[in-house]
Amino acid sequence: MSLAARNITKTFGQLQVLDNLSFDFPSGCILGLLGNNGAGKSTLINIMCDLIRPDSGEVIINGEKFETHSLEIRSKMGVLPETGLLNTDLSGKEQLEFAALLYGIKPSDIGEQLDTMLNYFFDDLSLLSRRCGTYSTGMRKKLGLILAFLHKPTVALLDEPFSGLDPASARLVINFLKSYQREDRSILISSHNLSYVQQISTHIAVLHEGTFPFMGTHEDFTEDGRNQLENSLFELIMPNEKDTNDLKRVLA
Amino acid sequence: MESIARNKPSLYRLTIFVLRTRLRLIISGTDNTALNIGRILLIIGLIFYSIASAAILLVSDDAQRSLYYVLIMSSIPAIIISSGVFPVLKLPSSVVPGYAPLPGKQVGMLNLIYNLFRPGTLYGLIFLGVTSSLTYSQGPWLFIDGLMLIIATSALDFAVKQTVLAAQTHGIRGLKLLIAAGAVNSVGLGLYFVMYFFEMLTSPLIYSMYLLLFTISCVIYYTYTVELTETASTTSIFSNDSVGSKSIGSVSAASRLAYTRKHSTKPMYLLIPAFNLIIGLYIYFLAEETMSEVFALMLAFPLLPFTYVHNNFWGFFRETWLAVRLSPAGRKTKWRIFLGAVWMPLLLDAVSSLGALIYSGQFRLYHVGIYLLLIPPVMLLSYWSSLRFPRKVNALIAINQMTTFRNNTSGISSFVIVLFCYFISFLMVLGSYGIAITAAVLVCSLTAWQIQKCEVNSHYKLQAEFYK
Repeated sequence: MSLAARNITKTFGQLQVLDNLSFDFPSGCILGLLGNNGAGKSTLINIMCDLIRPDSGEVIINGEKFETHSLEIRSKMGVLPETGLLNTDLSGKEQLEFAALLYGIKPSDIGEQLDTMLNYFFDDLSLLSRRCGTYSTGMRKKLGLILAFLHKPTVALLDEPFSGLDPASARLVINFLKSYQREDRSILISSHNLSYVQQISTHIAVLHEGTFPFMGTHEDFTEDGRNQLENSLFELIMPNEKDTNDLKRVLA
Repeated sequence: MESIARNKPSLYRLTIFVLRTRLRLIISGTDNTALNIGRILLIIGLIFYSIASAAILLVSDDAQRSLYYVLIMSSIPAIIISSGVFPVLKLPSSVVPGYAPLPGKQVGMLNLIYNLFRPGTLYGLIFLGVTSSLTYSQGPWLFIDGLMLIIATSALDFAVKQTVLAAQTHGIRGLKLLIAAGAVNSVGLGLYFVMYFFEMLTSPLIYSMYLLLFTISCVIYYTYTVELTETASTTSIFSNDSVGSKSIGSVSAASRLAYTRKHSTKPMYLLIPAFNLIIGLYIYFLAEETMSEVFALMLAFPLLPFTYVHNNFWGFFRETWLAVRLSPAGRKTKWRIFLGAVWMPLLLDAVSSLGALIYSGQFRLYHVGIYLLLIPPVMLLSYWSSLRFPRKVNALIAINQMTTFRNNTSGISSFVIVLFCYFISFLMVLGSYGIAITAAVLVCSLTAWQIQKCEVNSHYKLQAEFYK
């Protein structure tokens, strides 16, 4: 399922976060969305899943505009938000049941899939009977990921899927996403962890000052792998290293 | 391969799910067994109270009936408002994620059910269910009016709390309008009791129609408030000059944490229901002797145990006081905090004294009118006393809430204060007014002292950081 945006603009008060942003993201790819804190990555994801309305512009998914096919698009979309992942009053099991109900899924349709995913991510399934409010950050994130993929979405928007995860859990997530990737599915990942993005993304988009100074394949971004992802990114968003002499002086 | 999601989820199943999980919250809402046992005991105590209320209605003569009816019906708002900050309560929240494939109206409906169907509401329903089923021979009006009261009070209570929270954390447009709407609705509901008591309307149907009007009004008020405050919250989070972005993390999230007071009150939730049970048994044994004493005692203890649950106010004012002390701008608002601190003991005393007045034969009809008309302004005064502080004070209140909810000082203090309230009620029923008044003064002093007794905990460091 392809993902596209046309002339997206968004401002908060005096701050322009997205400035006439347009892009086409073909299906079958994993897009790593990079950028500084406050660059607008989460805002863009929130607009893509219709949590925030842009000031102007439109989101087009598989050729259909969000405005006109909102429910249909949402039903094929999986979202992992950065905050407010889970309802802390519900248990993990209830959370899964609620997500299935929201997407109109019959329990018989997902029994095996759900068991396999749960066993993949969790060693102790008894924890799922406890309230989500008692879960660790990593556990919340992994459960959030299962919820996002429960209905086998064709577009997945993942905001910081690696934050708060230990390296072993991050490895699980990376392998999960690789297993999920197919020709007809698109995954967008916003992350600050370049090493994980490097391992998984087929495409890279850099969001800086409201626009995309780069959007293309991973190979193009790293000049056929000759460059590290980190170096390519810094060349775009921080071409000149900041002078630390004054800092050294005052900290001496 | 296509997504396996269907386009149309079953609204019926979703509604059942929301109701089922909300019901579960009051039985086994936490992972703490002691807390859950405490809740069950609280419900048993409530059932005792409901049975006694029904008994009063069944045996009272026509002359007394409207008095008892009004007092029993006013228990419903008392239960809901005083149970407002039960450990599982969150302030209005969206149970349905914004990206779910559901039309906006269905999302709104599910969120409304989720937010209104909370412990206080459920207690109200239990009380109403037991009382109205035992008094079914007297007609359906208790059930019909009671149901509307439950909806109206839940909406009103939640909307007012949401307004306070949003005003503290994000600032909110149209605050005066919201307060005015809350006041109109509160007074409107209060007038229902007054009119019923003085038999000002001609038939039960007209009373119900009047109540329906205010129930609709309260639900509209709630819906509008939630929409307005959610907008304020979103704007605040994304705005660079907002209070939210000035405090550590998200103030909103911190405040929500603060309202989850399970850590502050764990041991108390076992003790208070036990008290409730003891009182229920006491009433039962007295009933064997003479019914008039039962009436007096019933009226002397109108759900005082539930006031304990409203631990929020004690904790809240304490935290507010901390914030005010540390902020130069906030020091000017000290008197407001005092005002807010004394309202609740006074209200409790008013409730207690009503029973005592009846028992001692000094009761006059206008006492009830005064009492019922006083509640809305007193409630609003208390909320107002916590509003419109300088921005830094508001932000710090949220930080304090976040950092102090772990200790149990406020829980113990409220327990002691509630015990005092019981004690005062007893004294008044026994006719020892002098001692009772002295004790009431003591309660107020204790409250003020408790608020000022700002413990120097590690969170002082946090405050110091904030005011650098």
